Amino acid sequence: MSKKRERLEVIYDILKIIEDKGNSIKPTPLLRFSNLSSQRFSEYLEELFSKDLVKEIFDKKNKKHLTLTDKGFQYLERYKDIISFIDDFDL
Amino acid sequence: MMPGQGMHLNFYIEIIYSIIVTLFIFLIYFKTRNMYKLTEHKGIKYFSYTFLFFGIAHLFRFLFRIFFRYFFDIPKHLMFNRMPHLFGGWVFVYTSVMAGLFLLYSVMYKKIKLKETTIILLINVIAIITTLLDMWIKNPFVHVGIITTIFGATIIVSLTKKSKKRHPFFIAYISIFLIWLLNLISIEIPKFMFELRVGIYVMSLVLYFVILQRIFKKRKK
Repeated sequence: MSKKRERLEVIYDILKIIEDKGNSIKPTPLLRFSNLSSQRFSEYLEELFSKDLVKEIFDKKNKKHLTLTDKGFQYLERYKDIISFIDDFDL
Repeated sequence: MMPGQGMHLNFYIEIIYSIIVTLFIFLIYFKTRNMYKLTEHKGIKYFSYTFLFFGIAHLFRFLFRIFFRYFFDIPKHLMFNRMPHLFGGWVFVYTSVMAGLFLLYSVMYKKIKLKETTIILLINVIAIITTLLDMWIKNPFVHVGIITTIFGATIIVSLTKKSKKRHPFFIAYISIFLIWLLNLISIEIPKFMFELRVGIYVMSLVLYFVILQRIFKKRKK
């Protein structure tokens, strides 16, 4: 399996966890569920923010939560189609 | 020749084909471009560039080699009589080499360690050299030969990949190559039999439609 595929899969997994948790999760449990080292998790999280796939929201106690953006939902919806496209065309 | 004055079936077929094929190719480009925006997958990016340049090639071919020739009746004795035709031809050579090289790069970018800007510069240099060779030698087989080499390399690279299975869409590369090559021959050799050219047009449209359909197809969740 290529490194690129892994990257797309990890992003999918992180977004899926957020969606499964009612589209709101604190960073620490997300790190735990994602099975990544804290350094890799930080790198991915940075990438997700820069690509506008997730955003931060704050609850009444001013605690930080992560939530999917529209683009994040779109990524989840189209992930399988895109992966099969990459496979089909050997990209 | 002005439209309506001796306008024949060939012209209408060329126009219809050009419009449909350009539309199909640009749809493939925009759809794959959207996939790239979402994933930032480099293979998808270069694949989309392939269709961007294929689209531009078809557009210029239509504008300069068909539209201007039929709609602007430039007297034959004038020096620039053949300029639109020649200019269209050069853009066609440049963009089709660019398309071929981006397709090749989309299947081997993981193996190449050079910077993306260097690669894009290199691709442009090769395309410009090919265009200059085409202008200088004036032999259509230079262009055909270079395109054959590029597509041949793409097929070989794809075949040597350690894929677990050979995907049916590998056939797409061979089909793109064959159709593009036949298109080139039919364009570069003006006396190419028209009936055969129409056959190539139909095959091109079917192939692009199949790729388009594959891109639009949704997997069952």
